[in-house]
Amino acid sequence: MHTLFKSLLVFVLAMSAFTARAGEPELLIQFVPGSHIEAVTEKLKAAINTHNFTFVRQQAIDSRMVPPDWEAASIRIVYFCNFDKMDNALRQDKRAAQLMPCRITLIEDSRGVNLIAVNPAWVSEQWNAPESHEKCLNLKHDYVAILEETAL
Amino acid sequence: MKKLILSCWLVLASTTHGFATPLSASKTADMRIALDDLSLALADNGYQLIKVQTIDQALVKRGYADPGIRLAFIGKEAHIQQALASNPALLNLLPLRLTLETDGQHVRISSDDLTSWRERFPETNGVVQGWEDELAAILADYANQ
Repeated sequence: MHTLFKSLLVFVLAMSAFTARAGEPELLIQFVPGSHIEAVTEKLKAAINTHNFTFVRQQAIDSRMVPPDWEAASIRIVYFCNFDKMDNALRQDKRAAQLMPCRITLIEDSRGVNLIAVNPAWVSEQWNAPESHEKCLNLKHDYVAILEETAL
Repeated sequence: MKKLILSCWLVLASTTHGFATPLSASKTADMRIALDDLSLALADNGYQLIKVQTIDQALVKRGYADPGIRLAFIGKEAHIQQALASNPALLNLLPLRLTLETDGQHVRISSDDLTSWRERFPETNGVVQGWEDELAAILADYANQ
């Protein structure tokens, strides 16, 4: 993928989050300058553990859609979870499955790596379920903490 | 047809005032049969089954109650190019996810709510509507098998 195009991609993502209507932003975005996707993935995994989540798996965005040698090296998904939170959330509202497992997308360009997550509180805003929304706000804070620690 | 009358329903609903209703289909089946039927429906519609996440087994293995839920991640290579061309924010939806939920007799399969993405990012309307149409066809095939 062209460097210029990837920079444009990240810019569009950032603007999408910035221009969100009132309420929660759709996306949580953290930039790690001057790093490569492999190194940031390792830092992300460490931050996931630090915050009592369990790393589940990582894959290219097009994994199993193209032959392994053709997979995009610059866009990666990292999945993780916390089983207590998962159990608790599903007991309350089965729609919580839409947020499982937790996911952060990493996009590498010439300047560094962007980490992007769908904001769980934006998703739950649409459920009209205050108790679930409260849990999703807590989950959002977990995401933010993990993203920020990865960027340190 | 009998199966349809006895056990299938398909809901293709749209959002009302922002409270989302995803696409879903349900029929009499256990998880194994539901996954087999879903796999056929995916193949018939040109989709790949990327990964099945056995949330139920993962929780039971660790001593939690069985929520009766599995996730299927599904997709097509074309989706990535469509997302990049429309709005890269859509990459966060890929691969698409279906939730399989059993009550012991039926398995209901539902999509994530994509309507809210169309509403929040109007420029993605055509692309996301196309994905919703494909998911609706997959769920209809699942229900009718």
